[in-house]
Amino acid sequence: MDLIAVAWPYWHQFFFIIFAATAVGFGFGVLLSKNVVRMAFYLVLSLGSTAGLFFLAGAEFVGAMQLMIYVGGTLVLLIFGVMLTAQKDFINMDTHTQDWILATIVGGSLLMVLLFAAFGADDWSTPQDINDAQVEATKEATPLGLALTGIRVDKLGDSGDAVDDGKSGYLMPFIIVSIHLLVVLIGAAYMARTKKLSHATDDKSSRAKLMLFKMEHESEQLEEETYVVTHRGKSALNPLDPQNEN
Amino acid sequence: MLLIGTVSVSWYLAVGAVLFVLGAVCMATKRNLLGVLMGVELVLNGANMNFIAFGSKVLRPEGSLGLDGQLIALFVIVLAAAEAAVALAIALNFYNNHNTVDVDRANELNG
Amino acid sequence: MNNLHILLGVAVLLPLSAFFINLFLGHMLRRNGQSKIAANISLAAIAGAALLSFVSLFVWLTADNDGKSNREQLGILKSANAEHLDHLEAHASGGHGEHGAHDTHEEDDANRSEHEDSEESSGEHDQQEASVTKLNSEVFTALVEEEHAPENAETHSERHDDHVHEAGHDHAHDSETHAAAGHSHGPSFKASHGEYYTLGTFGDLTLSIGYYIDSLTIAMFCMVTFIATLIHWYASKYMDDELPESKRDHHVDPEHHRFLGNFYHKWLTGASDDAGDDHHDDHAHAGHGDEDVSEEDYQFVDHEVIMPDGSHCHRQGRYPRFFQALSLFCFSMLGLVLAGNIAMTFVFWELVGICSFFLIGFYVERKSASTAANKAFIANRVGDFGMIIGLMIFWTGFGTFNYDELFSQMGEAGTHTEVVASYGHTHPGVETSIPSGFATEFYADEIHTYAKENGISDDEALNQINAARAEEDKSPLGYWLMIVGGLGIFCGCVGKSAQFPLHIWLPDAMEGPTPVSALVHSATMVAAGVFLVGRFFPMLVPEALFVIAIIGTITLFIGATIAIVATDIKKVLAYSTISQLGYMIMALGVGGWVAGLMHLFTHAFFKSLLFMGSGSVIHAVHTNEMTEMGGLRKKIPITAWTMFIACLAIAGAGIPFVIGTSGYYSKDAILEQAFSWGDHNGWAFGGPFFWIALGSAAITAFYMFRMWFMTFVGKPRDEERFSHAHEYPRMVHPLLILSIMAIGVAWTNPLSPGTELGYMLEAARPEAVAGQTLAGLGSDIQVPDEHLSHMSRVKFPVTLLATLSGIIGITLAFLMYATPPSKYLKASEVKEQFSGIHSFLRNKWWFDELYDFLFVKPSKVIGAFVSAIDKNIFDTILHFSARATKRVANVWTKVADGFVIDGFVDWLGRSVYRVGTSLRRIQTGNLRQYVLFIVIGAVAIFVFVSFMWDPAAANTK
Repeated sequence: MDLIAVAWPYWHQFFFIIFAATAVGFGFGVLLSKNVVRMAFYLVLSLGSTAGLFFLAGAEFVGAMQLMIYVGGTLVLLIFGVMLTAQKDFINMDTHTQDWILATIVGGSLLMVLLFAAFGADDWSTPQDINDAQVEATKEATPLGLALTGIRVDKLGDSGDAVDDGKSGYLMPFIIVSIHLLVVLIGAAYMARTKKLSHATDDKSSRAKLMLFKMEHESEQLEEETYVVTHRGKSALNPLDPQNEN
Repeated sequence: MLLIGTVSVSWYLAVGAVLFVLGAVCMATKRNLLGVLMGVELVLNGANMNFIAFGSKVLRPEGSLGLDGQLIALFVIVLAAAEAAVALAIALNFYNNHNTVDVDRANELNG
Repeated sequence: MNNLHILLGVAVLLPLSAFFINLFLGHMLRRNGQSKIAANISLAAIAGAALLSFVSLFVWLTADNDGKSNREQLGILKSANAEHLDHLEAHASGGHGEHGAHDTHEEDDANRSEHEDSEESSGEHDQQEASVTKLNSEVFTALVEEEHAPENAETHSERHDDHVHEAGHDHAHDSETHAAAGHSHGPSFKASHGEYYTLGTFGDLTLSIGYYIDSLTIAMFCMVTFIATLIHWYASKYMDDELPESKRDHHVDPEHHRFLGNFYHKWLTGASDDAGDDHHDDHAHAGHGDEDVSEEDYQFVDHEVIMPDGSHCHRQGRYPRFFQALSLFCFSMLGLVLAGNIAMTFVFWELVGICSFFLIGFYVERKSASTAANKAFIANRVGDFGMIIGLMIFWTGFGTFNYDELFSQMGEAGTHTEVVASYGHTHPGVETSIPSGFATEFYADEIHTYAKENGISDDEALNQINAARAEEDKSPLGYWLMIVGGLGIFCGCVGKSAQFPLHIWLPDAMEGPTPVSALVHSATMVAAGVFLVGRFFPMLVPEALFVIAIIGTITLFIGATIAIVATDIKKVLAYSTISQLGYMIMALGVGGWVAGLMHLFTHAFFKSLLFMGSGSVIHAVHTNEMTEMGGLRKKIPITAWTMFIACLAIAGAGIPFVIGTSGYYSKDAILEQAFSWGDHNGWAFGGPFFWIALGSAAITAFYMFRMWFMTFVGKPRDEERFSHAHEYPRMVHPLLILSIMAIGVAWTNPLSPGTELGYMLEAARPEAVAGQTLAGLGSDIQVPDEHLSHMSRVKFPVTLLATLSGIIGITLAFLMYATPPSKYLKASEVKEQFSGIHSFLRNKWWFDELYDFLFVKPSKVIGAFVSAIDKNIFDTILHFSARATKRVANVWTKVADGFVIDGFVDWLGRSVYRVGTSLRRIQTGNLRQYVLFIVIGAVAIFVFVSFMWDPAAANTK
């Protein structure tokens, strides 16, 4: 790192552009590809580039976690999913054009808003002088681990109520998240467990659909009928109704 | 301009925004359930990018969130992993029940 | 003495409990098949009451009274009365002989009474002298003297003839010691009175459940419960056809199909109507057995009710209900007798009335019965209205409802009290004044004003005003209120005891079942009126008593005459009852307190006997008409001969001066008192009472034996009815018992002298009026002391005349109805000869028609008029307003309701429905769409926060 920085003052900009371009470009790839397997592959590249951006921003540990968990874990999982749910010939499911247009408009407007916000604040858009020594000094694995156990090494010198009370650590969220993970994994295992439904599933699903269709239809009819009945009933039973005078 | 000037937080934010929007559009357009999941991952990454950018002392020594940003990003990653696990389980269930992964077929909530 | 009220209270409550048991459990008992249990409960209750009554009689007789038992005191009373009578007799024979023997006294009294002499006294006395009773007036003067001379010598005013006066003083001195015995010539018997429970006190008025027990109360209890027990016994058989089940009658000879349920009755009547189709009918009904089962609940067939479809009325038997009403009646009657205050009396009085209504209207499906019940009730209400007025007057004047307080007030400063000099009354005997309460209550302002003007106290003012009034019209202040109040009370008695203007209900009341007629309408309820007059006797001034006597006399004559021509056996007895009640009322009116009440007792026995006998006859031949009877004594001998005894009793048969039936004693006592009254008030004025009573006694004997001969003697007029006639044991037992009572109830008790009926009543004679001749303040009417009527000079001729009249009546009846028609007198010829009178009597003096013309018709005319007003005016207005309202409402409905309210509600409903259906479309269930929505939402929030929300503005707030 030192070598590069010394050698080339624009290394940061350079790598940023590369990583940003790959991340966004493969993001588009994910969006536009119709093949699930390819989408997964593009996603891996996009996430990897993002990890690179994390490195650039000085969050080495997080970047490493990004690579390990996402690329090494999540995406493997996704690919397993792709394989398990693989259909004949990897059928492409085309999206209607109007959906595309709609999504583009909505997404575009969101992007406009987000970019506006991103560049709207001077404090954010004005680059600050980057002190190489500072960058070099950041070793974050230990402070992060201590922060998760409730000790903020990085803020030892700071004064403030939250720090004094020892409440600024992340022990509690850490525990919650760990329990959450446990529950989620058990739940996932439970939901994804193998069921002997090879033939029944078809019948069942179609039957369920038929039933649902019928219910839906009937309820519509019923609503219309009740509406009519109540109106007729009103006119027939109301003694003060002028129509019932005779 | 970019090549000349120093990279600021806004650029990271812009990348995050783009990733976020890509993920959202992906969720909105993909009929494949797995595609939708990938869109979710993109969205989460886009969000994570913001935390990292704000927590970076390299980019913004004054007023950065410091470790807090990275910690939250870590949590997001972990939760994203959990989400992925559950979502995949759901996807498998969905596939078992509907014999497909087309989310348009899963319109039982139609009012 | 102390437990009497408890004993009698329980005796009153027993029938009430029977009533409630029958009321609440009647249906349950019937379901169990215990068909007669209702009757047995009522019978047990009333028999228990009878037992308690006799126990209390025993208790009373053995109770201590002034060191001796009441029984001994009664003996002393009797001997004292006999002695007193001897005394009077001696005066009657020797009064003139001692004329002028005591000059000094004459002078003294003359001096004292000088200023009080007035002109009218001599005129009045002339009248008296002219009468045949001069001798007698001496005697009662002597009586008065001997009572009051010792204590009241100073205040006593005497304005009678010199020789009378002398004779009086003569004996006053002779018999000082005797006079000390008191008013009633013997020991006094105090009534026991008190309260069971005080309901409430409102100012001066205390309402309580109290009792007033003297020997009259106990005697009434014994009489009522005894007769009621017999009648319950009798009715438990008589009302058989009302039984819910007919099973127990299946063994009865089928010819008596009347007693069977309609199950048998149906085909029996069919069989008898057309004998040829007998079998056919039989089979036809055998084939409809299931119908009969279903009709089992509707056993009773009322042959007198024709339904709209021509059939007879079939209904459920009401056996328990009958006994329920009978028990309630007994409770009411006993409560009435026991009552210790007027308010309580009135309550029970009304209860008796309503029970009578229930019982008369028992066969409610018969129109005649329901109208008769209404008639009885309305007639009673008319009387009760007067009674309420009387009660209010007495209450206002005395400030109390309690008998004991009322009577003691009357005794101390009351109506029939000792001589009050200030009124300057001229009549010999006990003088009359009014309770000061009456004057001070009603004329307080006048008295006060007068007192202020003259500067004297209110009491003095009252005395002066009274004295001044005495100069003009003799009656002191408030006296007329006493008359009106007394007559008001009597009004109630007129209604209840079926006296002259309101007697019309009693004959119609025969529509009720015969046991009811026997108990309610001859022995007890109608006696309540007489009883009440007897109880209120101290409150009745001579003028009121005079009116009472007139009413009684009219009634007894009307009743007797109508009874001559009646052919319905129960109607004969009904009119006879009216007539006998008239006797009692007249007796009380002429001062015969014991005579009237004794007749009440004797009459109760023989009249209930007669009614039950007639019931037995009716049960035997199924008709009320005597013209369809005849010769029945061979078929129903016990009934015949017990009724014969009753007829003798009511005719007052007896061997003169030796022994006789119960009626002999009571009726003769009445006639004697009427004679005595005529004696005192002059025969021109007072004679009619005696002569009418005597003549009616002959008529009584005639119609009673006419009834008996027509029913039991001669050839049967209707062979079929005759052949079916027979008696039921359970129905003749009471007849036998009652016939013994009818003969001997008034006999002297040789074992314990004085315990007979007459002296039991004598012991209860109101203290305030005991042994006194009463004189009115507003008129010259005198009510003679009853003891005077027992003197031989009264008793001898009256007894002979009464016996003679009875013999005449019986002989006439025998000649007309018991001998072969051609032989002596033909009833039909007599009828033709006096056809005018006959039809007049047949139509009951046209009373019903008269009332119809006087009251019913005008009421109807007024009613029609009012109804016309109602229809033409009020209805028009109402209809108009109704139509107008309807129109307004219609418009309002259209505008407000239909358009505004309904429109709004409908619009609301439709809008919600539309919004719902439109929102429904958003809910597509499409996942991708939802994602879009989320994004749109995010954008929206972003836009809002970025461009529209001003944090600074928010913070300043």
